[in-house]
Amino acid sequence: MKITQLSDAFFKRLETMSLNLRSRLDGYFGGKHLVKTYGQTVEFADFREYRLGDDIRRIDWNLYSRFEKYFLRLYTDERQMQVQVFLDMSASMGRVAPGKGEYAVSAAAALGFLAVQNMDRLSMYLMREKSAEDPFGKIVGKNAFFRAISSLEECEFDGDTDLYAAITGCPDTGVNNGLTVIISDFMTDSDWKKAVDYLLYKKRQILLMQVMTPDELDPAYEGRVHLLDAESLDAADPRNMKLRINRNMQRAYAAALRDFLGDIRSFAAKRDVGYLMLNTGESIERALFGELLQGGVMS
Amino acid sequence: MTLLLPLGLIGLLGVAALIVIYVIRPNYETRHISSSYIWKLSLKYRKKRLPTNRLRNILLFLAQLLILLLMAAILARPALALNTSSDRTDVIAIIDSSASMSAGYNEDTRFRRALDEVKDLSQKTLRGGGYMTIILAEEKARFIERTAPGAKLLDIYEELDELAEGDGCSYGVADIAGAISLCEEVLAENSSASICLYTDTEYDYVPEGITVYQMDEAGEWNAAVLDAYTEMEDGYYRLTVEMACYGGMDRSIPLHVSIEGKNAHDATEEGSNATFDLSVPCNDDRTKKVIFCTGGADTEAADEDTMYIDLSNEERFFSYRSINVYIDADDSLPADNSLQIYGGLKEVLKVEYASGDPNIFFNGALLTLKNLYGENWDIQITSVKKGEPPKLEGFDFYIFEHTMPESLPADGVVFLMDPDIAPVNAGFSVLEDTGLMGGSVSLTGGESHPLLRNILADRITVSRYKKLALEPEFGYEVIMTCDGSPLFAAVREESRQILVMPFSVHFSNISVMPEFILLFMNIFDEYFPATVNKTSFEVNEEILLSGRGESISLSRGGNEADEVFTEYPATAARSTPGTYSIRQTTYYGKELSPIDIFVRIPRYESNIRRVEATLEGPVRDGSDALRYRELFIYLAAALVALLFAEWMLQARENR
Repeated sequence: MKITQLSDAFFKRLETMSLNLRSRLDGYFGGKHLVKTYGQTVEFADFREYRLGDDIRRIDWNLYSRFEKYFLRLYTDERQMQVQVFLDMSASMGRVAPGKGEYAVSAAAALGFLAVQNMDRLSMYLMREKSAEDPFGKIVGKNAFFRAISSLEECEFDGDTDLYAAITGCPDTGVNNGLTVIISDFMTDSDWKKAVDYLLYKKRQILLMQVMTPDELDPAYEGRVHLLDAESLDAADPRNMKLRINRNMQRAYAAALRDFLGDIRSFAAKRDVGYLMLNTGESIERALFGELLQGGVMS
Repeated sequence: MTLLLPLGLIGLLGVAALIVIYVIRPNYETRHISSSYIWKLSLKYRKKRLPTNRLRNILLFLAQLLILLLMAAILARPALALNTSSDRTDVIAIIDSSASMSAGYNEDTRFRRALDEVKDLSQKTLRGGGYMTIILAEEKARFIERTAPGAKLLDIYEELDELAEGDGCSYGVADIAGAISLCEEVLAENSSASICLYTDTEYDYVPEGITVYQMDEAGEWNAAVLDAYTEMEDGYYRLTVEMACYGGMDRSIPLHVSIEGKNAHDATEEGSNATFDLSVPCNDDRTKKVIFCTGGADTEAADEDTMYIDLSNEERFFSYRSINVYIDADDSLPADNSLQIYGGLKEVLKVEYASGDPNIFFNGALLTLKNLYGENWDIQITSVKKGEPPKLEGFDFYIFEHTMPESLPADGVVFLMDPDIAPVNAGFSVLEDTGLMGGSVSLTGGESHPLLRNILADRITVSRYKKLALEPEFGYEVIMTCDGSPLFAAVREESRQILVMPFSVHFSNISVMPEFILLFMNIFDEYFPATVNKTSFEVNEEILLSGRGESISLSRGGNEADEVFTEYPATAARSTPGTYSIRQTTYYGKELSPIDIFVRIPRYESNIRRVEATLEGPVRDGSDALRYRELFIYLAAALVALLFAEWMLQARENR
C-alpha cells in the first residue's frame, strides 16, 4: 500500500503546525508544551510568599523593598506529552475500499508527525481483533517516525476489531499525559464509547477521527443487491444482507447514517472529546488543514 | 375472428423466452461493501408499507406477458371476417352508354332498350326485397343508384326516364372497366351480388357472375365515314376517305364529297367549290379506302379495298376552306355518316427583314423556317431593299439588322440584331463597341431558357460586340452574356415583345452554325405557337390549345363562345360531335382567322357488330382488405396502453 498523500510538500506544510494540547496535562520533562505547573523556564508565571525551605535565590528583592516581605518569582513549566494513535486495522477500513485505509494511515501519519515535530513521544497502536499492537514502540524524533511510517505502509487491513477490548487492553495508555487519537469508521458493534470513557478516566485528551467513503455516505447502487460485508467470514455470515434498494430504502439509509453520525458527534460533545469526520472523497489536506485547524486541534 | 397470417403466432416463442429470462436472471446483484452496519441500522428506519411488492411483481410479469401476446397477435394479423356474402339480394346493372348504343331506328335505340330492360330488372329485384345498383358506363363510369332499396323504385324510374329523354347516351366510348371497378365497391358489401351488363359488344369470354345482355337487334346496320384526311403531294392535296359498312350485308354506299373554298390563296379569297358523288361498294365489314388524287385513274389499286378517283387538272386543289364528306345511307347510326376536314388554308405569318447590310444568313434561315413550318403557317417574307425605309406595321415578325428604325413597330415581335442605335422605347441604350483583340470569346448561357432549347451557348463565339445598358423597368431577361455584358436579351410582355442581339453575324460564328436555325425555330415555337396541332378530334379527346393573345375561345358552329381559355397551353375536350371554331386576338389587337376543328365519334364505335375477346370481371376473392376488417389498430392501442402500464410498474418498482 503506497500512500500517495504523504508527500514531502505535505510534511513541509505540517512543519508549520502544532498540536494544541490542554495545559492541565502532566507529561514528562523535556517537552515543548507549556503546562500549568511551575517550573524552571524563563517565562514568568506568578509570585508566591516565601516559605521555609524555598531557595532564597528566587526571592524577588524588589518586592521585599516595597512590602518588606519575601516573595518568590514563579515560572511556567514545559513538558513532553505522549501522543497515542489507535488505528483501526479491520477489514472495513481498507479491504474493499483501499483508499479508505490509505486515508486513515495518512491521517495517523499527519498527527504523528505533528507529535514528533513538537518533541512529543508518539505511539502507533494497530488495533486488530481484541488487541492493540505497538510494533514501533515509543517514537521520538523524525527519523524514527519516518521508519515507522514506511513500515505502516506495508500493513494490511483485515479481520474484525473490538475497539473496546483493544483500547482498554492496551498496557500503557498513560495518565493525564497526552493525546489519544482513535481513527476508525466506528461501524462496529463493539462498545467503543466505553473505551473512550476509560481513556477519559485516565485523563487523556481524546480525538475521534471517523473515516468514511463517499459510497458509504451516499450509496449510489439500487435494485436487488446482495451486500457482502468486508468483515464477513463467509456468505452465510449474518453481516451479509440481501436488500431491494429503492428510494424508500435509500431514504432510510440516509436517516440511519444521519442519526449514526449525530450520535457520535453528540457523544463527543458531551464528553468534551474532539471529533472529526473525514470523507475520503475530499483531499486530506483540506480535512487536516481545514477541519483540525477550525476545531482547534491544530494551530 | 380470423388470423390472416397464422405464422405470426411464432412470436409466442417470446413468452417462453420471457419465462426463461425470469428463471435464469440473477435475482440479486452481488456487491462488496466495507460494512453493512449502516444498512442494518437503516432497516429500522424503513417506512412500513403495504406488502404490494409481490402483487406489483405479478402485475409486471403479467403486463410483459400480455405485451408479448399482443405483439404475436399483431404479427398474425387478426381480422374480423365481414359478412360479405349475405342473404340479401343485390343486383348491379351496368348500362353501356357508348356511341354505338345509340344505334337503332326512330326512338327504338339500343340504349333505350337497355334502359327498359334495367327498369324491368329493377322492378323485379326491388319488389323481391333486393337492392338495385345501376352504373352508367359513359366516358367515366358513375353510379346512377347505389344499393337502392325497394322504396326507391320510383326514383329509379325517374332517373332512367331522364336518361331516355335527354342526352343519356354518349358519343364516346364506354368505361366498362371503370364500371366493373365500381361493382367491386358493392361486392365488398355483398360478394354474392349479381352483375348484368347491357351492351352491344359481344364478348367471347364472360367471367362467372356477370350476365351480358345484347341490346342489338337483327336488321341493324351502319355505314360510316371512319376517317378522311388530306396530304400534300406535288403541291396539291390528295384526299383519302375511309369508310365501311357494318351489318353483314353487301351494299353500295353513295359517297358525296364537297370541297369549299378550293384553291383560294388566303382566307379572304372565296375560291371555288367542287362536288364529287360516287357509289362505293362495301362488304364484309371491311374498311374501304377512297383516294382522290391526280393520276388516280392510272394508279393500279394496291388491294380490292382501295379505290382511286382521278382528279383532273381543273379539279385538283392546293388549298381548301373545308371538305365535307358524307354518305347517303338510311342506317342505324347516323352520327358517323358525315365528316368535315379543315385546315386547308394555312394562317399567314408576315415577316419583314430589314438590314443595312442584307446577307444570305438571315434570308437562308427564314426560307428554312418557311419550309419547316409550312404545315402550320404560310410564312410570307418581305425583304426591305438596302436604303429603303422599313415598314413599321402590318407584319407579325420584324427583323432589323444593324440599321435600326427610329421607333419600334407596335404590332409584332421585333428582333434587333447588331443595333447601331437604340430605337425609341426599346428599353436599352447602346454603349461602346467592344473588339476583342485576342480572337473570339464564347458566350455564356444563363439558366435554361426556352429560347436556348437545343442550343449550347458556349459553342457560339463572338469577336466584336456592342455593350448594352438594359433599362430595368422594361423587364429584359438576359439569356446569353459575354464577360458580363448581355449578348442576347428578350422581353416578352403583352404589348412589347423584343429580342435583341448586339453583335453582327459577321463577327460571330453563329451564322454558320445550326444554332442560328435552332434559334429562329425556338423564337417561332415561343412567339408563334400553332393554336392546334390538328383539326380532327374524336369525342372526349384532349384538344391542346396554344395562344398568342389574351384569350382563346372555343365555340360550336359559330355560336357564342362556350369556353374561354386565358392560360396556355390549355386543354379542352368535347363530348358532342360537330364543328367547333377557335378564335383569338393577338396581344397587338389583330384578330386571327378562326380555326375550325371537327369532333367526330370514335371510329371504334362505328362498328356496331364488334366482338371483344374478354370481359374483365371484378375482383371478388383474394383481396383480404375487402373481406376483412383488420384489428391491428385496436391491438396496437392496447399494446401502447400495456407498455405504459409496464413502464409505470417499473417506475414504482424502483421508487
